[in-house]
Amino acid sequence: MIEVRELSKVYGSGPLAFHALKSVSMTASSGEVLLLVGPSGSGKTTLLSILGCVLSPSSGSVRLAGHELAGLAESRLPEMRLRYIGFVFQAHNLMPSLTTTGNVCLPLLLRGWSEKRAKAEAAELLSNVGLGHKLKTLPRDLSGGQKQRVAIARALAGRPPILLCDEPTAALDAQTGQGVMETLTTLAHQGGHSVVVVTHDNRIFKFGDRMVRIEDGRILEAGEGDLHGH
Amino acid sequence: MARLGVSMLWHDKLKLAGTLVGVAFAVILANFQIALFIGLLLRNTMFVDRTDADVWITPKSTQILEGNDGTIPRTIVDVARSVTGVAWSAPLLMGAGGLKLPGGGQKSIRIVGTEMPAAKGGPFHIVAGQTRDLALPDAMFFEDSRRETFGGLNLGSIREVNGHRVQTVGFTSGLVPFGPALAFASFDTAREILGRKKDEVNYVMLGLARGAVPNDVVRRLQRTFPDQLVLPRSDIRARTIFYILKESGIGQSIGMGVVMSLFCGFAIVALTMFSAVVDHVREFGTLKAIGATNTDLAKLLLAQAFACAVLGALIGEAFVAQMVAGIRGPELPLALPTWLMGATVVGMIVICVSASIMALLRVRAIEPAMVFR
Repeated sequence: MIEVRELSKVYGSGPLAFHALKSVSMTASSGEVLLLVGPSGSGKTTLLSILGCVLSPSSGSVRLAGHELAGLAESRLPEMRLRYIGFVFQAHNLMPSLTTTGNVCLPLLLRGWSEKRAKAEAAELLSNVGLGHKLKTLPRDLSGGQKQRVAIARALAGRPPILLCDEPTAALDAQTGQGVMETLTTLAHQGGHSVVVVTHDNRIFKFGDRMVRIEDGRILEAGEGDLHGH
Repeated sequence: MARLGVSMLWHDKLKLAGTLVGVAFAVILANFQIALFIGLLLRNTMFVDRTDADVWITPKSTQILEGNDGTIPRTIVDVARSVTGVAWSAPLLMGAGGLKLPGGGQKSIRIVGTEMPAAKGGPFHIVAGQTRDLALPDAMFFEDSRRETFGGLNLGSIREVNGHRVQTVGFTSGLVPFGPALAFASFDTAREILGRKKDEVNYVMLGLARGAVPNDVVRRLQRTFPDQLVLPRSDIRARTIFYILKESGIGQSIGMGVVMSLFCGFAIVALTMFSAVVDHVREFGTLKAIGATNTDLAKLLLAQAFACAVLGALIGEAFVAQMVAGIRGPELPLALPTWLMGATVVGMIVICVSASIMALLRVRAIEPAMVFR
């Protein structure tokens, strides 16, 4: 589902050039939870941004759901994000002025769905994450864990094959974080999604099927630090 | 996206209130000045609008009906009546007068002399007295709002105008164009006061026969009277408006005021929307990250601009309508036509949409990658 080959990303040029990613290669399959782990400044966020079609690579190949990103026109990137990728952000980034249903409807409305159809789908997605009783609630009235589950439901709207999660448990307590990861794991194993999770949180390492370590813009193979021994 | 835009607007009620106040304020300022402008213009075209005359014959140099452009032969009245398409004709005298005050001093008036009993071009908006009383010797109608200015006038008051004794038989209201207030007298009384010769008039008013084609009649009349101007009512009206705009400068001054008011509204909306984008930059970044294009976000901002324009304009118009109704009077001519209210809403939509461009440029600059930081 995700194939990365010799991917590099350089910010700036000349003597001030900063190589955020250096010939990175990795894959992520459908039905798999891949953990992307590394210290701050290692390039995880840059890699996630490129996978998420919000940054363009400097060189190399990135294939998402069979589509090559390198060389893709800027104007096509929003469409790629909308159709193939669901995002779960660290700070959930829900629209405070919209209810849970309104938030989950957003990607569907952007896809051109009718409001009625979008609302029905949103209700189902929210029920699937255990929030069927909070359809008309505003984000300010939800707990941190509930907000993150709404964010997951929004990420799943339109059933994108890939979920990219940026530190989804960072702002949550251990129990809530576990609940979120269980949801993501279920989505991968039962829903067939390819779930990539960027994380520092060693409490959730046990939820990953594979781990990729990244340091100084390079991938270290899993095995140099395993999922349980770090 | 439009609904999201409106819900984002509603969510930040304080900012919305600030924007609406700005729009409403601009509407109130602009509309009040336009109402004053229209009122002043109507006040000056009122005389032409209210007479029955479809066509006017005037001296060649006439720009506005003030009686200052010389006279024309009275014989025109009878000859004009014989032209095909003319139903009636009547003479009119007009000129400057000085009303002597009881305590000394003088006030200017504009005297209108109308032939009785038809009284074409005679007093209107009458609040006291009857037109037929102008047939009485030395009778005059004066402007009601000038009663105190003219030394405490009442029905029956005696005054001296241009050295002639006159008696007050009635009052009109609101007949105060630019310049002195109108005062009406019979044709003969006016002729004496103004010192006109018996065979001279200032203007000849004509009414057209039913079915007559105005342009044809005007052409025939112009051929018949090559030494005078023959003007349909619309032309006299247009000349009056043009003259006022040109000579008085109110067009420029009120126009500047309107432009500044609208600019205030533009600036307030532009800054408010821009700051709203800055305040909600993370939300816009998230929308971009999940797949919203710049076009989608433009629709969101346009919906916000539209909502602010319509709501703010309606609030402002409600306020200005109440204000105009409350303070309008003979000394403060204010006219708020329905088309102005519609034009205001449309105008504010254009202004607010234009103002949203700054916000749109800011949104375009947002990088979706910022949500990962």
